[in-house]
Amino acid sequence: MKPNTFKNAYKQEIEKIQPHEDQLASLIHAVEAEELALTGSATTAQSAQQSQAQSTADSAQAQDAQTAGAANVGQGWTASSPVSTPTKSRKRFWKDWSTEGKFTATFSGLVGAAAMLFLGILAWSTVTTVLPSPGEPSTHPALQTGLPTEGMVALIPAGNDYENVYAILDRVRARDEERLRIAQEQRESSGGLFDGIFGSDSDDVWADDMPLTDDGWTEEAADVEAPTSAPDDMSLSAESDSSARRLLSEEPDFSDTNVQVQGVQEADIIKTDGHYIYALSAMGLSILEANGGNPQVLSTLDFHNNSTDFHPGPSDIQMSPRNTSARGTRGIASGASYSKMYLEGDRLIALWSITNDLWTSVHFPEFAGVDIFDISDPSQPRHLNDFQTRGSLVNSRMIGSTLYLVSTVWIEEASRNRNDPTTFIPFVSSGNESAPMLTPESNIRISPYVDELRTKYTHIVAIDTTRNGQLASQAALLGGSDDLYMSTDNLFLLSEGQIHIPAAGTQGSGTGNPSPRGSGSSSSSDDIRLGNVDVAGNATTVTRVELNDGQIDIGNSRRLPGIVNNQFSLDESDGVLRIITAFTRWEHFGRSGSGQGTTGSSEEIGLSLAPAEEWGWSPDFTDTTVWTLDERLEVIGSIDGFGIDEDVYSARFMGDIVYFVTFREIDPVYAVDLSDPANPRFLSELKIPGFSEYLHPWHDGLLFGFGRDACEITGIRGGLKLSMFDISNPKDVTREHYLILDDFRNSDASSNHRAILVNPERNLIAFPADDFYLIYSYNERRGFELVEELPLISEGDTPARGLFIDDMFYVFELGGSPNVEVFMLPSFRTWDFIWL
Amino acid sequence: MNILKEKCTCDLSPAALVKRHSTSVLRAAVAICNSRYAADDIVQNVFLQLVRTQPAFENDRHAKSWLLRVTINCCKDLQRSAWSSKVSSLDEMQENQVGTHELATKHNVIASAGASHNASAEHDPEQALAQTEQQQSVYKAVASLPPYQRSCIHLFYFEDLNIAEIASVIEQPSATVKSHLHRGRKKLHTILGEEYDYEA
Repeated sequence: MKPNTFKNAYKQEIEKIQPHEDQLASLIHAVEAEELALTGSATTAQSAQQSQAQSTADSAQAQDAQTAGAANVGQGWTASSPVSTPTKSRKRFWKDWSTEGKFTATFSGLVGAAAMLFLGILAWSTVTTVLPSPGEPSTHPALQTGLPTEGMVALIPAGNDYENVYAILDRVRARDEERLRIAQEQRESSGGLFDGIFGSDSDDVWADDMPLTDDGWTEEAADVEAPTSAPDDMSLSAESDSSARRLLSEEPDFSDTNVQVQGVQEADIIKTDGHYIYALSAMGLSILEANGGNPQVLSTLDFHNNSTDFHPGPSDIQMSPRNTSARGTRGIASGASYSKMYLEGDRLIALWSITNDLWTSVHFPEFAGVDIFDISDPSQPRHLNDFQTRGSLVNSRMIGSTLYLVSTVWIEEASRNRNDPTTFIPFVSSGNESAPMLTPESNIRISPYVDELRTKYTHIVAIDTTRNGQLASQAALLGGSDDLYMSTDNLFLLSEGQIHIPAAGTQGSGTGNPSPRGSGSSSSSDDIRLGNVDVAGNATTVTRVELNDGQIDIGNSRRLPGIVNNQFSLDESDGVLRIITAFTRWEHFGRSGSGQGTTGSSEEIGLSLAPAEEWGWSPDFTDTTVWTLDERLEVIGSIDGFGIDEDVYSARFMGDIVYFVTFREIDPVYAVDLSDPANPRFLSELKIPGFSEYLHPWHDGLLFGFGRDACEITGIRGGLKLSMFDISNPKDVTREHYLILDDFRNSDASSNHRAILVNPERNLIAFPADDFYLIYSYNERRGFELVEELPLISEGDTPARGLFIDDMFYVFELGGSPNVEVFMLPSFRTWDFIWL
Repeated sequence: MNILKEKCTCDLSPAALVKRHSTSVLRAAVAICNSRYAADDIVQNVFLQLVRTQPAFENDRHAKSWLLRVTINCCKDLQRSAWSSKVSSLDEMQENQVGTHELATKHNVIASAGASHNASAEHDPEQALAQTEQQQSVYKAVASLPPYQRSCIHLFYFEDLNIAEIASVIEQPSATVKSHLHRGRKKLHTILGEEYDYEA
């Protein structure tokens, strides 16, 4: 009989599933045995099991984890028990040691338990005396000693055929080799771990007659003094363009990629203009017509079979050990595909990159490039042009029709050839140009922080995507970059490094002070902060780059103590750069490794627990600072003392006020008033469990936070958490509502703000979580409410994005089996489903 | 009156429940976690939990819905640990012909995605659908659904539970159940074509 209803068909198939012959009997046996065992045991045990059985395995896991965490803390307390009357700060410190495996692992081998105990006392005494409370006037130790006060980027004196650049690369190379040699010697002689990391004082190759610190400086200073043209007209014209388009053709209301700065586009795997949707998946680049909720695939672009050949510069033939693969068509290059894209008018710009295999040397050439398509007919996209730069893409942005690519370019030392600039100067090659376009020598700068120089550049390329696409300008900074923030006027490059502040009173030859003009005031001798202790810590170098409508001009650099969480920790407003850093101080103890700072801190404090031959660096404490910098990146003001021993998890600048979240066990939300850049003022602090990793303004004085729940005592993370903060009174920030999603642990949106859709007008908060796409709404009385919980078809880390066009909500699943499901707003009734 | 609250006189001892419902639990487990090996373990765990927890059941239907809920939770836990699902799937690839397994299912989904994709390019979706239908039985089609939809479809069509009962079993609001069912049916329709009537 052929079943005609699904029910019958399904029942027939399911009924084929039968227990094995003896399964029932053995099951009954197991059940009876369990019953017997239980009746024999005490009632308390039974009730314990009962509660365990009732809770899902998830919460059971959480309980286990909590107990484990509690045990950890317990161990910490046991270890600290010889010291009487524990205080809060010391408790926190001990927990660091017991839970932060990497520190424990590093140091237990190095110094052993006795030294750890000593360290605890040392660090505790320092922490308790040093920590400023929020709002206290800024007296950052690192500001007072060792930090360079001049942050001028050096201009390379004009030469012929990049000769000066070549000479400088020679010096960088020589210095690196010298450092390596010294580090190796030290390792061999003393087994020290950390001098290799923090660098040793081998900057002798940087003699005072270096052109970049003297001649270059003054020239550049003059450059910066020159009035900057008003770059506003660019963003204005872009805005008026779009509004004109809107008037012409009744633009639909649709959601765009979630960006940090209005007017600065960020690349993503999905883009829409309200009529067509462009999606990147394993299928390639699919172009869909939205078609009022019944999407149709118009065309699909594959990376490998479109357009022109790959255009490596002539140098690559010599440079790449695998030149056969890099040379041919790019289809041969393994693993290359479109990664992200931009949409601007009738131009679609797709980014791709070729990166090294993880196990190969980083010095092999890497490529980052763009393909520009004309999509005036979306069913037949036309390839217009392509650009490649050699290097790995750091990030990209787009303002108006100008695309900015920032990549890091390593110079292969073995093939560096004085007669061939392409071997040591960053360049752009294009499908429409036969020769590689070298960065002009006048656009190459050198980072002032020479201790961090390596033979690598940050290469910034501006491409005008109108017409057939052409190179607008390019510039290079000798020195790497890790991340960037872009306002509508300027680009800020971020590079992580270290600072080293030598002990007060000793010869100041710290690696953090390359400038021959000296540093800021050194600390007074009675400054308990430093005493005679060597201090080092993490640092971030910020470099300001003016954009001027595609004409890139690298400005000043400034090294600040501490590291930046992500792009949301920076904001530029009225020419003032506001930035949040978390500075972790490391303290040198015991015998000094590099021959400086002869006094060990142990004698200073009057304890001699550490044997004389034991020395190294120990993490001291972490402190969060909000800085304000002017256009020359001079520090205008700062305020610190936030999030002691905590990391910054998220930040959002809203006008004059910045809200930011730090976390270790509990989540303080801080508010700081920056209306007077010279005097940032602490406004409020709200402590709640868990933390937010992304903050987004909601309407009516509300701020939405996306993060994780966490145990207040152990800091162990729980499920995802949605929070709504009332910031109508910044002096008294309160939490209006929150919702903990215990079933969901991981979301792409935690680390990628483009994965979350937050739209107060439509009352939508949508994001992927584990194997689901979740859509919530917010009600001022009832809080967060689940609208839809959509299971994703492919399991695992499938990228998913949601977007709406008018009254249709599209959920794109862009993994191995890409598909789109359409819902009707606001009821969220299913409307359509197609495979890409 | 809530049907689950009605008292009954039938035997609600664990052993009796094992006899009456272990097959249902087994079938639900196979249908939801797509693995006979895992399902056998789940059945055992469900009834051990029953003994340990000793819930006070009002009647047999109540007991059954409790058992199904625990079954689904066990399946959920299993899916959380990707390790087990992948290992068992690989094992069964060679040996077990009874149930489908996730790997094969995934391949089919991708294959059908590719097929329908190509077909749409050739403007002949029907041919592609017929093709996929031949490849996939009803059961395999259900197995290709996401877990929640799979659970709801199974409870609705096999266990004959109504929306409210499914809602209490999967611990979700009934609106969510409806949407799972709706989407599940829609996807089944995409995979299986016009052949079946889903309303009856």
